[in-house]
Amino acid sequence: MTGPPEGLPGDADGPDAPPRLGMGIGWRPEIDLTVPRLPGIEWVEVVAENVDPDAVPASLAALYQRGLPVIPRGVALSLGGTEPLDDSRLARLAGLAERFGSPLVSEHVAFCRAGGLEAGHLLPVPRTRAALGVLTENIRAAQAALPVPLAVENIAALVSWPEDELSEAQFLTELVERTGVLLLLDVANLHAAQVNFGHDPIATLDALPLDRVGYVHVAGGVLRDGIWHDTHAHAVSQEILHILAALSERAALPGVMLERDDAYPSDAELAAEIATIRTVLHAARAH
Amino acid sequence: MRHARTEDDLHARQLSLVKALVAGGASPAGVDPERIRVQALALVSKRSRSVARHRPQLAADLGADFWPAFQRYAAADPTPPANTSSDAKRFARYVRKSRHSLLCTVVR
Repeated sequence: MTGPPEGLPGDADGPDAPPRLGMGIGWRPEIDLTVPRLPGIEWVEVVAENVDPDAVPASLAALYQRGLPVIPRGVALSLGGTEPLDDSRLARLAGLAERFGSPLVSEHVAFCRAGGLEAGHLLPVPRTRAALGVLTENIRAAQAALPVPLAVENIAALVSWPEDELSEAQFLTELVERTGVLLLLDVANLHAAQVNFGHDPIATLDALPLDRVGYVHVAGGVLRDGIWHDTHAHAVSQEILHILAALSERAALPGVMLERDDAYPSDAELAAEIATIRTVLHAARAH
Repeated sequence: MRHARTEDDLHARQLSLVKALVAGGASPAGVDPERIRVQALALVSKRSRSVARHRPQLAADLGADFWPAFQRYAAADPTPPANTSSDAKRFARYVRKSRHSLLCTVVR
């Protein structure tokens, strides 16, 4: 890396604080030549299922060589599933963390298969005590198999369970308290929870242990027929930036990144989105 | 109505949701069937985008017919294959077959 990282406003390092990352972006093969050209990118996240630690794409290896932290994120471990975790998926996450010397890895508070059937997507677990027990056990098993800390992410759901006993904030807080897991807080998914289920994102922020946030996801989506779809294929909307600002006013954030997975815009547009996110963070911390 | 109060119940509830989404099962009790429909459609849409990225030429050939064709293909067999590569292969075969049967109909 050339020179010290620019960082995010209000960095605060304590002995137990999550590692500081700064501004990042989701590395994808489709934008692998764009990422190194984006100004002010300090780290990247990769989808664990799409990167083989023994056959890392040259463009990604080059970013690593330049000193950019690479954070593997699993999308199919099914931490919220009642079946035992798949050892090969866990080994892939661990292998990537070793390969890149990653400061942490992440996954989701979700399940994606049951009874041998793959949903092909992240599905919400019922927020019950039974589900907390299953997630606690699986998170502990994952932590034991991983060489670095784990962060778990709130998902964007379209369906909800009538048996939910806890709010999303209560549920995530319980997981943090039981396992010491970090949070990957997705502000776009907080917006989805507001539109799709009427959950106030600010109330959620106020009820979460924000000092345990490992990093933050920002992404665009689209409103169709009154339902928010977290597409990662649209520009980040104002409502989502407002949640990011509210979060940044409440806590020093170790890392924030943009997720874009489809309908890739021009390099200039991506750079402008990164700049907007940075401006929102600085403005919020100036308050 | 048994809800996810124990781990066994949780497994049954999760299985019922996955079946409703990818195997033509009924909506799990108490879960909004309209949201199940929207989620199932979102899954098919996500698969179609992955297949389009995997086989850009096929997507370009089909143009505006790509999405309707993919929806018909997914409706015929809602359970997604293990990965995008096999999904793309199966979809390509489906497209070839439907073109063939369409041609046969026209000839007849």
